[in-house]
Amino acid sequence: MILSMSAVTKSYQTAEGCLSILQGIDLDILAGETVALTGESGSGKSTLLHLAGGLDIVDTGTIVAHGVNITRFGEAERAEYRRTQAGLIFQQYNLIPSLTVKANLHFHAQLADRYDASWSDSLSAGLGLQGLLDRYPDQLSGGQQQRVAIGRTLAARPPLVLADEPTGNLDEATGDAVLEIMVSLCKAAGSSLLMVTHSTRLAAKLDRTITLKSGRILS
Amino acid sequence: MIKTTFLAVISHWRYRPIQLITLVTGIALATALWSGVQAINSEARASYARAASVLEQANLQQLITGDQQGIPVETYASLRQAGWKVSPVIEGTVRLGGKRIRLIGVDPLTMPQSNDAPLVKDASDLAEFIRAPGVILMSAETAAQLTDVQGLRIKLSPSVPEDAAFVDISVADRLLQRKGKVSRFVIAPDQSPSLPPIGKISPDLSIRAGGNGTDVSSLTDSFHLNLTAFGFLAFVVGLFIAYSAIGVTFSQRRGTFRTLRSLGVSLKSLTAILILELTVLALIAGSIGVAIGYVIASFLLPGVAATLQGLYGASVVGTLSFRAEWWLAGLAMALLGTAVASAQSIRQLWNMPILASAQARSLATGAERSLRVQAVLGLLLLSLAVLLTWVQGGLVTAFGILAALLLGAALMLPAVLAYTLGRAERWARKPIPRWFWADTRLQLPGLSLALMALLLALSANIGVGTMVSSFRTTFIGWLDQRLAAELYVTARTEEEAERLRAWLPSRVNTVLPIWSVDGDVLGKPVQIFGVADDATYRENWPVITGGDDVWDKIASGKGALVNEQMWRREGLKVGDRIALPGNFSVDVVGVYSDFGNPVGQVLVGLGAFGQHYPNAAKLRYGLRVQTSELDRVRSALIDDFGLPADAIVDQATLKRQSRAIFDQTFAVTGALNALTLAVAAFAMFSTLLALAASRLPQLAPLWAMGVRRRKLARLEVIRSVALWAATYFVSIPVGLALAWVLLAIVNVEAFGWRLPLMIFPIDWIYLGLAALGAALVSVYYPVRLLSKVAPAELLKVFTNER
Ligand SMILES: Nc1ncnc2c1ncn2[C@@H]1O[C@H](COP(=O)(O)OP(=O)(O)O)[C@@H](O)[C@H]1O
Ligand SMILES: [Mg+2]
Repeated sequence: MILSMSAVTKSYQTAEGCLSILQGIDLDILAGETVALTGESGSGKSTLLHLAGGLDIVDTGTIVAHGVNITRFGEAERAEYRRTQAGLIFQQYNLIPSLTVKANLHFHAQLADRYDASWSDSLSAGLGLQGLLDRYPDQLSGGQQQRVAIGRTLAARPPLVLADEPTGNLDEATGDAVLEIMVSLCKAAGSSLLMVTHSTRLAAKLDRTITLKSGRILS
Repeated sequence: MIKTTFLAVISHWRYRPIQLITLVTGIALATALWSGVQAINSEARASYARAASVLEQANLQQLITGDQQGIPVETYASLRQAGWKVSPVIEGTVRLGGKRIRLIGVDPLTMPQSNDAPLVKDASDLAEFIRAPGVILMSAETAAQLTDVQGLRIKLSPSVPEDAAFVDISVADRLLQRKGKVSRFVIAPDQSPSLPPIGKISPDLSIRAGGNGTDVSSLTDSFHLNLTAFGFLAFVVGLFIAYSAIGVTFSQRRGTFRTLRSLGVSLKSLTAILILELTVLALIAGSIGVAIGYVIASFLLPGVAATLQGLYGASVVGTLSFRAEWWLAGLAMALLGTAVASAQSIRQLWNMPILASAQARSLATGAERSLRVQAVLGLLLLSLAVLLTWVQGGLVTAFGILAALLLGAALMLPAVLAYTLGRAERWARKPIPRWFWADTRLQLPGLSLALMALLLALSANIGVGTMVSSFRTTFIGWLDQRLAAELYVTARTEEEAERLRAWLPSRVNTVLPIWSVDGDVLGKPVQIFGVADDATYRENWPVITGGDDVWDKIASGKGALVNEQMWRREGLKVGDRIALPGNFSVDVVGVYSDFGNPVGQVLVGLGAFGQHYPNAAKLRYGLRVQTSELDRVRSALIDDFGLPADAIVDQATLKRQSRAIFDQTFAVTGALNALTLAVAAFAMFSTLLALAASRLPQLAPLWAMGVRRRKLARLEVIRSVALWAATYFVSIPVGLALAWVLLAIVNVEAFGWRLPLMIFPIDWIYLGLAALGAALVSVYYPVRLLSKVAPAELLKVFTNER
């Protein structure tokens, strides 16, 4: 078991009062599994992903990753968790603008002390980035940037990859192609994938699909 | 529509109050320092002009003489007979009721009427002025300090400068005991043509041109130019703040501008509204600035007044009067500064497409190109500075060198830093250091203005500090040489002086007469001193050039030493022959340094001096005394001889006074220096604060990849300190170059002295610590904001609805 969430709740304090977003989430993800997370806008998909990625803290419930309860983690341990256990891919790519494509690709792996030249090379080949290694992020198209972001995460070989609408900013054809590559590379790396998407068509390409509604997972 | 748009545009400030404060502070500080300096300058200039035109009728031509005794009355008669319309003046200093004042005796009947002359307006005034016992005309301030006016009737006139008074010429003759000898003649402007030349009537007389005022104004000009240069530097530094603040607010309001335009607001009316907004802000900030400037000026003016008095003998009223013209000039400067600071942002607005382009501007290429352009420009300016040092072009060229040097160095700075950071990036192996260097390089364009401002402020500090310290060391060494005698005494009358000459020799080691006359040499007023042939001079006098036999030649009466400023001004060489008044020609045999003296000096042997100027006052003496004997000699002079205590000054007191004047002089510079540095620190603070907001999206990905907030905050601190430190290290050579220009070029042009450049690394360390402190202060608040930022804020960066 790579990730196991049980009875997780999360609410936000807003001006109108307490806004309950997740109301008891139970979710298990197996090693090597690819899971699509769908649901209406505002249903709490990103929130769930942030909790799983150690970016945010649950109100109640537990999240166990690799047999370790991460809900009790302090700030430093959560940082370590993000560095080594969970890799995040966002809709806005979030590359580091001051570094070249190559430095961006290696960045997370080096942080996690998992840099492996041959794996990185096969990744950039697989993602079709070889000709772009010396460019800066702002000299790339959206699809190219997202491929770099995927490569950056996968180069660090995290057991769990969390992707939040990674192809949301791309046109359909590019999005499909990027997704195709991402899923196959995840499999090659042996990473599990939890991916938020709106599209049932894309969701169908993964092992299984779960849907969020009213703060719970529909069975 | 205009109103709605205007409200939409300015609503921005409600969300960004700190930016509003930054912008207003930038403009206000720039205006404050500039108008403060201008207030001082205009006050001082007004003082000189008043003094010169009133006391010396300086706008008119004058007839003057080199003869100490004055001009005999017969000369007046022959001038009038020959048809010259001249009016005699008898002037001198007199002690009235315990206060020394400058007394100017004029003849109201023949004195040409001028707007400045406050003398007499009508016949009854005239009668009163001439009739016994006579009138003494002075300002209320002077009158308040006088206890005795020798029976004269006091009449108050606000236009008479302090410590001076006008009387009828006959009264002046009596009080000054001139026995009819005239000090100078004022030449009326309406002379009939075909007059015989003055030289035919009296060969001793020469004409002094009117109009351009006295020497005081040209000498003090350089001092004011220095102040102005400082004020301008601070103004530029303040503008940097305004420039970056305006840039930030414009780029943050881009979205609003786009929306407004897509809603049908034309580019023209949007521009007009923004200009209106900036004008209002500039006027508010300018008013605040002028008010602060007034406060700064009133703090600094007493120091400036003391400096001008000490350095140039120019008297300036130590209080500030309110002048509408600099209030207006201050506002104009604020408007101008805002216009300059906002020009680029407005231009960018014109070029901005209505639709946001998908891609942000290319950071890597655009910034790099402008860096290169700046560096080339900077290099050109530095070369220009070097070239200009070969040109001899007076003070204006000297300041041109300064400007080119500072601006060139400032423009080069970002490129130098970028190059260094690029090297560091290539050399870094680990991902965080590599990111750190690359990211710092990316921040450079945003920070470069603040860094340039910092470079200017630090270089000015090092440059001016080095100049002042070099000057001080030289000056103190020079004082030790110059003030070799232990005691200096001044007799009250010639009779007392004669008794003193008889009384002293048995009681002290050596008596050194200090006798001098004033006269014109090479067309300019100089002081001529007679010096005894004594070991004191041979061992101590600060001679710069001259052979071993200088003092022998002086003693022989054929040679003369001149001071450095006269030597440079007249381009004299050793061996040149100069004509002194009274048909006395001497060879220049050497040059000595003479700091703080506005006029030329000539030293000749005492014997020859006595022969040529038998009537010179012989009142002052320097006494060589064993230190252990000092107190005994002094009390003997007071108790046994009967000299008043204030007629005796010892060396230590004189040195202390001289040093106090010196320190006063540079207290003003020091204050301006500190203010400039404070403005630069504020520029850095406001820039970091503005950048902090845009830092979040750049830092959030690192945080998501497991770099802790605390580490990111620490890296931000290190970055700021590293940039400050790099700028500080660049500022040392720039500051030294600045000091060299000040010492070797500006001082020579302005004062006539060249000083050796001395290096005081300990001062740099103090400055470095001050800069480090300022860096930490300026980075503290922005970084605290960052390190305290809630994870929710960081998460927002990743949520899709950004
Ligand atoms: N920091 C926050 N404070 C308050 N409300 C928030 C915050 N973050 C998210 N929300 C709210 O929580 C709900 C779920 O957000 P999110 O997880 O981003 O939804 P999704 O990704 O499914 O569209 C939304 O209504 C959003 O407005
Ligand atoms: Mg979402």
